Amino acid sequence: MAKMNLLKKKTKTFISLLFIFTLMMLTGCGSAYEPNELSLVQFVGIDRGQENLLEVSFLIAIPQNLAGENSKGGEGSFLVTVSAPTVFQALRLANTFVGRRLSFIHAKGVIFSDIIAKEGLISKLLPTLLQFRETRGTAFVAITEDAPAKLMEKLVPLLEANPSRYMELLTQNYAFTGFISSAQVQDVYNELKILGMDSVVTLINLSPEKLPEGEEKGDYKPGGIYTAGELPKKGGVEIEAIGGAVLKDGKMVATLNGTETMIYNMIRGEFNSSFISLPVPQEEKAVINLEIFYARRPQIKIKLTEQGAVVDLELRFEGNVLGGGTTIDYALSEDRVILEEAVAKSLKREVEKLVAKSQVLGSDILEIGLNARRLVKTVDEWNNLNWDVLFMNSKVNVKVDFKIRRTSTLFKHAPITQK
Amino acid sequence: MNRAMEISKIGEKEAVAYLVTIVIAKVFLTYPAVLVGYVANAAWAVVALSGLMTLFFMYFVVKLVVSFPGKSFPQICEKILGPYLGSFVALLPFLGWLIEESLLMRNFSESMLIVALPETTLSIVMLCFVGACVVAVYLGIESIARASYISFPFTLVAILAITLLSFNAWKPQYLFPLFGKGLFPIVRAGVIRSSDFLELITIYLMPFLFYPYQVRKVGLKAVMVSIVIFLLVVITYTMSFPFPVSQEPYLPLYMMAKGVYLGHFFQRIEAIFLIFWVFAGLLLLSGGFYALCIILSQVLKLPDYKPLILPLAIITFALAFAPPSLPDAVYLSNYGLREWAWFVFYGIPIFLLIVARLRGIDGKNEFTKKEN
Amino acid sequence: MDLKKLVQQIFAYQGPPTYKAFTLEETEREEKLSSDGQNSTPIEAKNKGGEFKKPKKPQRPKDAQLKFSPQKIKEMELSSNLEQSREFIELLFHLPQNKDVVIRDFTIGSSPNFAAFALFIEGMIDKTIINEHILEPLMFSSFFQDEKLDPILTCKTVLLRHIPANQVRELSTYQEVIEAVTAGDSVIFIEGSRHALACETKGFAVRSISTPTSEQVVQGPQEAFVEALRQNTALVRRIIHSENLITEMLQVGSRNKANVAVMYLNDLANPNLVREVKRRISMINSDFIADTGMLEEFIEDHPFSLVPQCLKTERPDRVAAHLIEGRVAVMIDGSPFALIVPVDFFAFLHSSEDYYVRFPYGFWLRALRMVAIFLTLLLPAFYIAVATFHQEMIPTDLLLSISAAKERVPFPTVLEILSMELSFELIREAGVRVPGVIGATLGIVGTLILGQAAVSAAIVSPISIIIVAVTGLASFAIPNYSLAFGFRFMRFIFIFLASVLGFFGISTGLFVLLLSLLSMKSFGAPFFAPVAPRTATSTDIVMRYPIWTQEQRPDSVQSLDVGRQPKFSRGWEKEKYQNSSGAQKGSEQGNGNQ
Repeated sequence: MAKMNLLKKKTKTFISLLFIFTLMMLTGCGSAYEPNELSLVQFVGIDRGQENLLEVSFLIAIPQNLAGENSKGGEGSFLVTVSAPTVFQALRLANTFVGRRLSFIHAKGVIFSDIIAKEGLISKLLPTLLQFRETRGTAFVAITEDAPAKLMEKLVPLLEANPSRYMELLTQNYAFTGFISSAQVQDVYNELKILGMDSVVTLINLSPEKLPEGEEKGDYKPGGIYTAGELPKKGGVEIEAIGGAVLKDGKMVATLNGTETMIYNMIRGEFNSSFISLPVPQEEKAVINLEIFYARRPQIKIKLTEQGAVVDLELRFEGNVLGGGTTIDYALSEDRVILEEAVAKSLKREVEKLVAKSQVLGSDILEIGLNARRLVKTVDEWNNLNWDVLFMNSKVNVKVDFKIRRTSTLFKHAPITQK
Repeated sequence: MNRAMEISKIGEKEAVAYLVTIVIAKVFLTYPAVLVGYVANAAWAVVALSGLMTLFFMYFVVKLVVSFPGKSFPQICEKILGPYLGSFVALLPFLGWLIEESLLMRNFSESMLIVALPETTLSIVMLCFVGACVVAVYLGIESIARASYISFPFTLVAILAITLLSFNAWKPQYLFPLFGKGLFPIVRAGVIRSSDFLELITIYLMPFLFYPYQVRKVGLKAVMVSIVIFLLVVITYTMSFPFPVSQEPYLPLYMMAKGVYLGHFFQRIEAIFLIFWVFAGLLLLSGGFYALCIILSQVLKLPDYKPLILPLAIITFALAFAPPSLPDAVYLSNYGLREWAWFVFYGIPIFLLIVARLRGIDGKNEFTKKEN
Repeated sequence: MDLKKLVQQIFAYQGPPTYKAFTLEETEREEKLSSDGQNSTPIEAKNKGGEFKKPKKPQRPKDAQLKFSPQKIKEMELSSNLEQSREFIELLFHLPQNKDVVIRDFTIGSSPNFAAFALFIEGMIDKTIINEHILEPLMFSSFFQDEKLDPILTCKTVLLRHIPANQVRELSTYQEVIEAVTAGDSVIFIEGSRHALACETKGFAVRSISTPTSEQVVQGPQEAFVEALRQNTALVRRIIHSENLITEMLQVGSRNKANVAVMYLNDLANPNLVREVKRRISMINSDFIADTGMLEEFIEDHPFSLVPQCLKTERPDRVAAHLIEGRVAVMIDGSPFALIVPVDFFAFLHSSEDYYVRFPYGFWLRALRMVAIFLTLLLPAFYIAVATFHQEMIPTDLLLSISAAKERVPFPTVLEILSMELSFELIREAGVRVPGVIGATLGIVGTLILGQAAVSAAIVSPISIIIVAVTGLASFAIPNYSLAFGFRFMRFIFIFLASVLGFFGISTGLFVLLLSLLSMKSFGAPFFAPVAPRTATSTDIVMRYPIWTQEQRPDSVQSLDVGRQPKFSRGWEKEKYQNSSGAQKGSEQGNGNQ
């Protein structure tokens, strides 16, 4: 009998616990949000506002339009801009007119305006952002010379439904173009905090959507000389992501064009492959295309001499001839060596130019300082080294080596018959 | 003999897995960042050095256990130091561990708030921890040790996954300057931080758990495996985050997991690892909790430890709320307590051994009869 | 409800444990190996005073004319007076009313004639045996003509010389008579003899052996147990041809007196284990036990656990395989299922098929099953946790489409999953109970509920249907019915935990679940045996490795012979390596046939 009573009691207890559980379950103990109670911020744009305020823009996804069977195919997202003293204030202020709770958990990018960047505010804003639990450290960082709000308005992808997917793909194109930087929030953050490293972040601008007009015939220019906003293009999404903005201690000090950014990637070891072109050394007015890869990771060796630091920068590449407006056979002929040397020389020139530029700017974007840390044994020694000054006055010896390994699909290149 | 001492023993593999789990559970907390705080990039050297120090201390711990076979820690103390001083010495690790246990509980609960449940009340999370611990302690150390044996591979895989998947953030240059803040800080930290292996004092606090002939092997293996895992975590961590940044976060491993980026599909997977963190944390907490109950019951000469579970749980729970904020809790746990704990906790067995030698007490003679 | 008392009951200390748990101790050989083996103390029966009063029996009207109550008769010896015997029998079997019981009077054709009668139950006996092999020889046979039968020795003589039936034994009490008759024997009473003869005449209709219904295999034996106990034991014996295979008979159920067979291999099973099994069975106080399931509940260690601790199987080959591992099988008359004890958790994840297909396929089956277990236990909880707590984990596009799909759904995710799970459980239960004729309807209704209709009515989102469907599929992939049941139940607990605390809740739940499993015992053997505590075993735990690498019996069962096969079990290959090593050492060949 006693047993029965105990059992009955247990059953009662069980039922009441079940009831409490059910109540708890429906409230979810505070941290639970249904997916359709959240509005996902895809990008954050930060601009200088009136007086001491920031103008913060959020691109918010509209799930029904982006996915689901009833997708109306309308705009995939909408833009809100709030003027507020801080980013997080803006986030909550935006919720005064956006019903669903705004969340950064799927924010894939932060876009600063160049005004902010030039004022050095990145060094304050970015750490704040990263300290927030929701922010992704892997979100990309970009700087625009237009207003971020305007830029984000134009982010209407044509191929993808989702702007965030579009930007995620676009910012990863550095792997095969080299024209943009791969900097993510956490990288920039690290580089803000340590000596001997500065970042280059991707530059994204509105496209003028104009092709050069007129009769005049232009000279050969390498493809990468453009920075965002200058590229002669028409069609597609009305933005351009090419080149980079050089930060020094969180302050934007210069811009890099496409080629410079590619060289930057090459020296930092973040280069993967790209197409380059250059005038054929043996033939006038002919241009040859090559695909270029690392043959070996870049080697940076630093010595401290009495005159200052001496940096030996060694880059080794290999390539694949893609062809071009020439009939010269580069497969087995001596011309191959000539081409290899020409490529190496032109790359070397570019590298030296970029090194000089960074030395003038005093921004160690090439991570030379990072390698210089090997020279010292302790942190104190490193701090006493005064690397900033050393770097600006250091002598950099550049060595570039280039070898052709393949010639695409052709073993021999027969000359075009001339009639 | 004491009832609590009739508990069955745990075999070598389970013992090693259990000890390693409770030692390494702290990598999920602030541990790597704390080391970096001492010596900057040379954190790995501290791990190696403190490991060696621990091995040195472990010699005495094992020696104490082996020379008094079949006796509980309070019994050893009382035999060597007499009933009053003995009980006092036996209560020292109890008090220290009680504070550490409550701080760990606070830290683990707070880490849940950081990682996954930002808007949940701390007390609910902590209640879950305490509740699970109470259940675990009721079920006994055997189950806890077995659970750590089963979950050990998973914990290991989780740690490996976090450390290795963050490979795109690795920069070997971050390891330089190689000697961090200099040799003296390294040696100092190496000695002080031997208290990071403090959980190994389980060996002398609960000597009845282990087969006497295995204790030496168990201790050695546990230290070695923990060193390897610590090294793995610390080196990959210092490779992923440069020095001033690497001392910043509360939860370094969480930051590493947050940085994992493998294409569109595989990002921000830190929540998955949470399962293993909780497991490791619960094992550490319930194991420590069990130790508390056992020691107290043995000092008080109670026939059973179970009546102590609930009061101790409440005390721990209350103590956990003592630090006013998370930074305080982290500071108390990592700097306040652990900086001197090694001296006391490793000092006790050495002290006991010396006194035993001086007073000519040999535990073995008396017990050889009972052994077989 | 008094919350304080409840908390006290759960947490507070209620005195030191007074019971003595049964533990399978290490065998002697191992005790020598490990220094700390404790001496096993003999198991003492729990001395429990009758705590609760029996309800008072309603008074039965006393039969006035009889001096003897049925209870008294049962304890009496048989008398030599045939008349009296008959009277007693009629009283015991309530004869005029009870039409099943037949008394056939006849005279034995000897000189002088002896009066006799045969007692049997209609329907339980084989008529031909009685007619041709009992009545005919006794009544007509001429052997008796020359003989002078001594009344005292009649029975013996008749038994030895005159009844050509295969099993005949002498009975001496009425209790024995009752047992024999109710089991289907025919009992012959002879005038002047103090004994009666029980002839084996069982001949009731039984289902013929058919294919297993709950443990099907594609390749492998296709026969299953039936309801007849003797046939079942014979099915096992057909697989294990060993004189050491012992079948002990016990009786359970004070009213239905079901026969229980305890089968074990004498040279393998630990005697302590066999004793414990028999002890538990013989100490059951219950009046009706009809199936192994009921028996299981009476003898298992943790009746409140969600996980079974006895393996119930309908496959003779499976029983044989476990007997060879040194375990004990328990069967009960009337149930086509056998219980195997002790058993470890991993046995529930095994299917006979794993061993009958080649190693790589068996390995794959096991791997698949492991996935199924995690899916069935955790998938809905995982989905809820991810969708409501850890949305950052979900790829952006997927989160958007989940969000879009939920746009018109008014319920929270938990409720969606719960309602779908509930309807799935309903379909499942209805599917078992529904009469076969209208079974097809169920499928249609099920697809409608769990399908398009629910989605288009915006009651649930499509993704939760996928989750529930996958979970359902996975739960069918668990080979053991009881374990699948347990997991289905636990799934709901995990759903609760996940909806309250996300992954943290799930992992806390897993921790408590794991620990409670680890602290369990099945007939004294640790439940998670070969893994934790780690004991010597063959390579067949979670995964199945080649059969020729399985050299040991599981140590946790403490069988008397650990070795199963020598290191070199592929004997024909020996010639290849003859020079390289003497690989012959190690354990002796196990006794049973493999």
